[in-house]
Amino acid sequence: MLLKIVKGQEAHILPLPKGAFRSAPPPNPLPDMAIVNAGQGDVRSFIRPNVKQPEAPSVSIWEHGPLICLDQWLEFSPFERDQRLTLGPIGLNLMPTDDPMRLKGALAGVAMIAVEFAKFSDGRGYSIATLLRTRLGFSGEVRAVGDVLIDQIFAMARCGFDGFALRGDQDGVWAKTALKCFPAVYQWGADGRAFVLADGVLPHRVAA
Amino acid sequence: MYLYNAIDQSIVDARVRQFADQTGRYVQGYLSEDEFKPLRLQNGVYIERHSPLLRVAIPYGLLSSQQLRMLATIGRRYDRGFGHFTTRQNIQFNWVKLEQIPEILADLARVHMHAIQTSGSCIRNVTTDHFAGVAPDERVDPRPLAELMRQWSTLNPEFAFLPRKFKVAFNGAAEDRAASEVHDLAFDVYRDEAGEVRLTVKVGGGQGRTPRIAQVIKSGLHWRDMLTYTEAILRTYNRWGRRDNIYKARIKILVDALGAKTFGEEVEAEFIHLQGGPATLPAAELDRMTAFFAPPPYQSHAASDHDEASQRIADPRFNAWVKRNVAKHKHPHYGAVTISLKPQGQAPGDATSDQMDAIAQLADLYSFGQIRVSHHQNLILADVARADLWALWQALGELGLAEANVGLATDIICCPGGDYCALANAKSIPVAAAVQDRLAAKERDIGTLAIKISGCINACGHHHVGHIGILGVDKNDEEWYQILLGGRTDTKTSLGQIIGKAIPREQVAPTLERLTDFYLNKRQNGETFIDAVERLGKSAFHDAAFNHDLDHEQQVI
Repeated sequence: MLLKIVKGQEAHILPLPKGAFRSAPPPNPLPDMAIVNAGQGDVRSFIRPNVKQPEAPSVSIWEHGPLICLDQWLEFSPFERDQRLTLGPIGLNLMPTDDPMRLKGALAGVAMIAVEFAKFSDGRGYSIATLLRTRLGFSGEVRAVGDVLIDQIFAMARCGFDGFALRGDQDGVWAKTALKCFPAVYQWGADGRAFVLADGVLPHRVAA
Repeated sequence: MYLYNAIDQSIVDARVRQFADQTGRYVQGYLSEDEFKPLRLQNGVYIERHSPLLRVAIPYGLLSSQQLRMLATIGRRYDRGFGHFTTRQNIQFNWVKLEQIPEILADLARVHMHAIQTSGSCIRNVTTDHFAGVAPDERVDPRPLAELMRQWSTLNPEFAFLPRKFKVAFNGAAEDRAASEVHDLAFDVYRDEAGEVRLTVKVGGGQGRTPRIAQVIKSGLHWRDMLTYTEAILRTYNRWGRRDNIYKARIKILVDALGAKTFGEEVEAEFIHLQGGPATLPAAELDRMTAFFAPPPYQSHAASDHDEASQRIADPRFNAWVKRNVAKHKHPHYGAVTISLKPQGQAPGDATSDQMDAIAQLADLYSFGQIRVSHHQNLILADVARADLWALWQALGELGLAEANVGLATDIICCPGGDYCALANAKSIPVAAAVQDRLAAKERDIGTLAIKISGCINACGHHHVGHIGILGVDKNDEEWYQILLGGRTDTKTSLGQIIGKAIPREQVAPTLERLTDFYLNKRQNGETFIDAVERLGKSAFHDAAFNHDLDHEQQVI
């Protein structure tokens, strides 16, 4: 499902076609708290120094058809781009290693940019969204796709994401709550939310 | 010190609720082990060798007596009656139960404390000089800026999943007591000719597998641009730092790969877009923050100088304690007292709940109710009237906390090591005990000597910057130790070098004794151990430590 933030309104949930979000992993075993609390001994042998890097996007379509990857989009001539546009709204796909700044001057007609989270713990997507919003002024939808979990969407929204193709096992109601989990924030973010360390809110802080 | 307002409190309270919910979902199986791990780490929770561990943030090492009492209570209620102060000026509870951690965090929130970002691949607890605000060699008190950095980094949305952990330190004095140059990001704070606070920015320092000294990428940064410039650094790192190998993911590897100059240019190109933008600090903010760290109402106690002198003559133990544990203070009638948590027979940095309560009370009596934690794993009462030193020393003596060893051989920095830590190659605590045993009798003669022990390459015990460093290594499932020589972080930073081959545990203390004996024989004109190492060279010390049998045989022949 797609959790969508619409400015000035409550976030709402839309259905997504299969392939537009990552499907649910198998259920987790229940942790045995007695074992957890007994520690995990020597874990050195479990450390894998090399982390697998994503090669292909885990999500290749959206509700308006296939996603176009960055290189492909940049290779299109203006004529080809226009032709694509007649087929329906354009959605691009950015991998964690893609430089969003390459889209400078090439955003005309783009309705949605899907930012791939191959793994939820890969934080490059946060900077990609921030740059799309604040440096390139992209005003279409910036959608998190892939390993999109409710515990990260608050931070994602702060970086300018307004669409979340939640992984298949995620709960939509919890997701809506998660978007509101902090009543205030300290730092400036691409969401334009009022923040504590801002000029002009000083009297408010002193009074608080 | 900084006091939370209603907004700060609401954020920390929300974090407690969020983590309680996450823990609950993990226990019920909604969150996998892998998904829960970074969430718990960003709340300071590790699963260690024998138990979960909770690391609580002590921003730049500053505590109120009320907060220290709460830490004592937590130690008693949820742990085994003690806590362990760390080299990041934090405290760890080694024996907690996972399902109780939300409760502990709620207790902490009641006294303006939390465990946010004390672990994980994010911006960690900000550290600074433990004598900030009282040191005579201080240019600018760095704590107001450190607090601003704490707030900005807290729950920062863009930088919660960096390639690897990111540590920030501030130094505002001639002597760098924060070891700032072995941090991912270090700020040197000073005042320009117009009196404006400015920063020199250094990046890419760190210990661990690839030890590096931080390099300057920016001078003269105005304090109002501190956060935007930091944002530029972190965005550059977040985007281009390596993620394919956890051993090559720290910012120092990126700085190495690009060179400090190119890295600085990348940052500058990013900074251009941010400078003067909405994240620029408000002009009045530094004044407002500085007011929180204003000096306490010092009293004049000039008449007592004579008493202190006669007390020092009357009791040589008091004299030794004043000499080693009382540092000079900006105010002539005050001193900064270090309470050594390194008595023999106790794990370095450990304090019992009873000791914490007692120290909180002494802080109320003698030091305006505040305590600092040093990265040397000691506690500090920074504002004690010299007239009160005698009474304080006696009170500490009754608590077994009057060890006069600050800066000496038995004041060892030591990580928890293989006794607790799931990553350790070797134990550290028994090594510290053996070294203390061996050198205690000579330590006054040896004088200033920083011994630092880590149980593995991650270097929590700062072995790279010890005058003598000890590193636990694994050799075919056995615990061995490598000796390093020549590290320091005081007025200049240098990294120690490995001397000799790894040795078994029982050889560590005798080897150190040979090093210190060699120094005692060779020293000139009152030079310290580290000065002698620099004058005579590491190889001379290496020979003394490792070729002693050979020398002996040659002498016999």
